[in-house]
Amino acid sequence: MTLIDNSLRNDILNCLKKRNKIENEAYFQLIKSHTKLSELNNSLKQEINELKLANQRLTQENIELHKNPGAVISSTTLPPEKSRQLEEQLFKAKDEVIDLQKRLVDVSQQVISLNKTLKDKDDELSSKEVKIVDLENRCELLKTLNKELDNKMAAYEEQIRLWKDEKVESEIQYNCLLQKYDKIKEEYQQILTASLRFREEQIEKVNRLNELEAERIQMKLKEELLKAQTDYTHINLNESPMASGHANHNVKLFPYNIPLVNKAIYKFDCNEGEVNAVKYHKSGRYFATGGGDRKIKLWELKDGKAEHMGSLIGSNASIASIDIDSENNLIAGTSFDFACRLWSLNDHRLRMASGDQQPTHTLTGHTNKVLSGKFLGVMKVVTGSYDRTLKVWDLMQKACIKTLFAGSSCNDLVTMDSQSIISGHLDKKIRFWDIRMDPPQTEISLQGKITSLDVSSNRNYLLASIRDVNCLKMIDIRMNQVTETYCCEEYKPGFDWSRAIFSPDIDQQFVCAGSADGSVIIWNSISTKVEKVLKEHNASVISLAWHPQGNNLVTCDSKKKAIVWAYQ
Amino acid sequence: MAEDKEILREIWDGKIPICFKLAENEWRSSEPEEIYLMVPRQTYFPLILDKVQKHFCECVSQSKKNNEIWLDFDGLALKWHYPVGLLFDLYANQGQESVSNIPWTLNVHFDEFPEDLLHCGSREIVESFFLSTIKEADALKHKGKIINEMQKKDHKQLWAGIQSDKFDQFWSINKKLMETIEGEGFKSIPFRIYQQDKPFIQKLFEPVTESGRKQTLKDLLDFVFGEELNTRVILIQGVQPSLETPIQWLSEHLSYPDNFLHICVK
Repeated sequence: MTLIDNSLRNDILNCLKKRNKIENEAYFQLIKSHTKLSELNNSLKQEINELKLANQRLTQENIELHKNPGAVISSTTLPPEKSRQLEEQLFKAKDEVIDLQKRLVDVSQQVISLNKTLKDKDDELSSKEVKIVDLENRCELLKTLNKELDNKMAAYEEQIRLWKDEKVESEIQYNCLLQKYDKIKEEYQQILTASLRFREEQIEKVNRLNELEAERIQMKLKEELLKAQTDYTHINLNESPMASGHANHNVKLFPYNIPLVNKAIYKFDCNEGEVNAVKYHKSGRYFATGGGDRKIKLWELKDGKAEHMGSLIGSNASIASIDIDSENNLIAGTSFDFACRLWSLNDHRLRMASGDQQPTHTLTGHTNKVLSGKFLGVMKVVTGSYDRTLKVWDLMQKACIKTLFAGSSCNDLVTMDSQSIISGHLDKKIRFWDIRMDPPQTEISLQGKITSLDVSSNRNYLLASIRDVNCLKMIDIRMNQVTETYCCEEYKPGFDWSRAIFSPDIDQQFVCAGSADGSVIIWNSISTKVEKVLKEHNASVISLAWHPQGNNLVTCDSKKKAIVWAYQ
Repeated sequence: MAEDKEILREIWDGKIPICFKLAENEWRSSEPEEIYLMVPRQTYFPLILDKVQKHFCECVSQSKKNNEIWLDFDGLALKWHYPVGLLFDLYANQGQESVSNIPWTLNVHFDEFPEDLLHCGSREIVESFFLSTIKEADALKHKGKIINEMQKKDHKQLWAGIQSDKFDQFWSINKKLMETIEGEGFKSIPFRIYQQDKPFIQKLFEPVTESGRKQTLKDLLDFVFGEELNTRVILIQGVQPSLETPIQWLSEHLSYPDNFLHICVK
């Protein structure tokens, strides 16, 4: 409690009381009664206003009633109050009628509008129904489409499954075949290596035997040298050559002297057209001729007659040259159709039962006539062609393994061992090749086109026939020098590929060539003198072949004739 | 603590008779009837002008009927945000000897609202003004602690007490605002000093000096004016208290409902 002097407080209290008395109490009652009076005043005013209004209304009615006395006179028997009541009722009734009529109008309007809406709704409904029908149809169509698509899908899936199965099967098959192929490949490789080994062994054996034979021959020769003199001794023709046997491929067992043939014992037609090539098989049993009839014919000499043993067909143009590989029994025939073909011979039988044989290999690649082809080493062939190249072919791969560019068309070539080749060309040069190196090792230039080359059996001498100067030259291979020249009046090479050959004996006693006028000329190789001129042919003599033992000489000309010469 | 209920009751019951006259330039036809009202000192004018408006609205032209009323006394426009008792004391009270201004005659205007007078749109504006004044007072007294601890319904109750002129409803809440610690009093006294034609003065003033002496009304006036005021009349709530009255007691008992001590110096 806040302390204050009591006197002060009482003072203030008194002042307040006084104040209130003055301000409040004096006027309180007064104002209260004043407000009451003013309220009363207001309410009375309102009542008066209302009464005034009522009064006005009544006076108006009164006036109206007074205005229409006539209309109401007939019924004024009624007391005015009642008539007024009736009039009021009449008014009320009239009002009601008007009201009802208005209501009627309203209702009929409503009915019209409702009818309209009803029609609209009906139209909508019908259009909706049409739409529904349409949609149902579409739905049906879509359902059928759906089914069809489902069917198709099922069919496709079936197919896919089938194909998958097939694929699996073929994969399995493929794997099987792959395995088989691998196996066979291995076997083949094995066989190949085995056969190579076998061949090597064979060669070794042959070499050994040959060496032995060579030694023996040397011994014998030495003996006979002592016995024999320089006279030629006749040898019995019927004596079977000592070369019968299996090991006489490289070394030919000839008597020291071979007969100088002097008589034609058999003439026959061998090939249609010109006969370009004739070659003896190393066994001496048969020889092959080839020429313009595109065939190589094999002949056997029996009882002084040449019997046709078989034909080798397959060439598309004249045969240019023939070489025989007695080891593998292959005949290589080069042809003017730019190819060289190889046929295999089966000489276990003396006769060829089947008449015509197809080539086993066809070596294509030259772009011009292949004039000459010779076997080189083991399973290789080298060919020389007018396209100025020499090609070395591998018979195992059946492909050309080397091409030597000679620069001039090759007319003839010879092979020395498995690496050396000598070729004669139209540009008057003889080229010596080593197949391991490309440019020719040496070249010898001569005076004319080289038409033929032949190498002696001891591999020391090379015989070349030259066309333009009509002579033969003998060249020492080791020294690359011309040692002898052989000329003759009658000698004239008739063709660019007219051949000249050495005699097959070990000393190459004779040199033989054919001339354009049909004569066959034999020179002594050492003395260069003409030993014999044999005239039987009517046409230019192209090719000659000496029997390996020197018994016969076969010559052929450009008019399908071949003549076998012997000594009699 | 404001415990002197007698004093408080006397303060609360203070009413002033006011005669409302319609301003002459707004009469429509003839002089309208005046309306007399007993207006409590503690209330504000906007709260009691409804009857006045209803009474005068028929007498005024149709277009002006709904305009905001403003009052003037002797040509002086009255501010609505002062309590009625303060306005009377400031302008019309001539002490307890003279009663020429009782009943207090005011002119009612519907038209030509003065530009420099604040508008009072609605009762809610008055309520928010009232409550903000209470908060200001409490901030001065207790640093705002008590008013902020009160709930919103307490504030509403304060205002309802004023509106419906109910002593118990108001003072049940207000006594909390009058709490002090024994011997110390408020932190500072919320007071305003009004003089005619001058803006009011409000300053910080402690009820108890550092030495412990209670300050009196005289000390307050010396503090504010700094000179002797023998010739001036000091009116609080329509009475002239003694200058020796402790200021703390005055603030507790003689404050208006907005917790301010409005002092008129004439």
